[in-house]
Amino acid sequence: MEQRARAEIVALLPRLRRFTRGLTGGAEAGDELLQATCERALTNLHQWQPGSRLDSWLFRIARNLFLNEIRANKVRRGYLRDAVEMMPGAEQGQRVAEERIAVTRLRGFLARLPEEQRSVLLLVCVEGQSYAEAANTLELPIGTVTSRLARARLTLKDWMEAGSGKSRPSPVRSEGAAPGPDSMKGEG
Amino acid sequence: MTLERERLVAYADGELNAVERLEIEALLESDPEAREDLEALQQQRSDLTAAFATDLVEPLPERTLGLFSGGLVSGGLVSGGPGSGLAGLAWWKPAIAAGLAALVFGGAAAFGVAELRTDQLIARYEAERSADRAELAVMVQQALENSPSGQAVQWGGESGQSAGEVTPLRTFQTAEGDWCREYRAKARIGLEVLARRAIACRTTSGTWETRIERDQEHPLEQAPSNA
Repeated sequence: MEQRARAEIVALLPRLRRFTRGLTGGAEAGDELLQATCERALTNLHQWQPGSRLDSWLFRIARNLFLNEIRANKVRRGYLRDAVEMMPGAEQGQRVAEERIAVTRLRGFLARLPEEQRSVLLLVCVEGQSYAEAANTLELPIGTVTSRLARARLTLKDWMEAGSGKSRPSPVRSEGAAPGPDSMKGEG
Repeated sequence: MTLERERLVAYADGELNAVERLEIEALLESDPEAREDLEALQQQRSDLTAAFATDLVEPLPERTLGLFSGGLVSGGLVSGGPGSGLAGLAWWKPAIAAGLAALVFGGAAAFGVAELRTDQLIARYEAERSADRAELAVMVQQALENSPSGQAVQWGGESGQSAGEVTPLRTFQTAEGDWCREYRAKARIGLEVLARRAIACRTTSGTWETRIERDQEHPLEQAPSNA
C-alpha cells in the first residue's frame, strides 16, 4: 500500500513543485519547499487515508510547512531572494518577448498577494481544484475560500490593468508577500 | 468588494448554482463593465496556468527524486523490501515519463506553434542573463578582495542589459578567525531588480563565500502599479 502511494506521489511531483514554487514565489525556494514537503510526506505516509485525495494531502503539507516558515519568521535565504528576483522590473524589455514580461509581472504580483489569498488562487486557478476541493485541502469553510479567491482574483486583475495603463486605481497590499527582512536592517 | 463581484468570480469559475447563474447572466446582459471583468477573469485563469507551464516540465531535483529511490527515507518507513536500493530506482521512472508526456502533449496543444518561437527568445534571454549573473558574481569577488569599505565598485554587463554596483561596508573577523565583509549590492539583471545586503567570508582558497543575505531596499513594499 505504501509502495503504491509512494509511486503516486512521484507522479504528482511536477504538480506539487508547481504549487510550492507558486507559494514561495521562486524556483529555488519552491524546490526547497518541495523537498521539505516530500520528506514530511514520506515520514507521515501512514497518516494518509487511502481513498482520500493524495494531491490535496500533499498540497496541505506544503502549505502548512510554508506557513510555519512565515510564522516563525525564519526566512530561509532563498525565500526572500527569490521573491525579490521575481519583482516585476522596470519595463525595459524591448528585446524581450512580450509574453515573458507578462509572465514575470503576473508572478511578481502573485508573490505580493497575502499568503492566504495566494494559496487559494493557486489551488483553484493553477491546480484546477473546485472551491469545495480547495476548502478541503486548506481545511477552511467554503465561504472563506470563495471570498478569499474573489479578493485575490479581483486584486490581481486590478494590478495587471493598472500596469497596462487600463483604468481603475489599484489597492495596494504588501503584507503576506515575502516576510520582511529582520536582522541586518539600517545603514552601517 | 461587493457580493456581486464575488459572484462574478464564482461564475467565471463555474461555481454557481442554476439560480445564481441566471442572476449573473442578467447582470452581464445589462452591464458592459461586468462583461469586461468576466472576460478579464477568464483570461486571468489561462494566464496563470501559462505562467506556471515551465515549472511543470522542468526536470525535478535529483535530491527530491532520491527520497523515493529507497534507503534514504528515515522515520515512519521501513527501509528494505522491493522498493529499496538499486532495484527501487527504476520503478518511479515510468510514472515520471508518463506524466511528462501528458504535460508536453497538453502544453503543445494548448499553446500552439507560436509558443515555441517565444520559447527560443526566452531561452536566449535566459542565457544572456545567466552570463550577466556570472559577471556580477566575479565583480562581487573583486570588490570584496580589493575595494576598501565604503567605496562602491560599478559594473556594466557585457550584454548591455544589466548593470549594478557593489559596496563593501565593513570588515570583521569571526570567533573562528574567518575574515568577513558586509556588503551592499544593487543590480538590474535584465528585468530583475536586485537590492540586497549580505555578509561574505573569505575561504582558505581565497574566494568569498556569501553566508547571509537579506534584501535591503524593501522593494516589495512599492506600489505594483509602478512596475
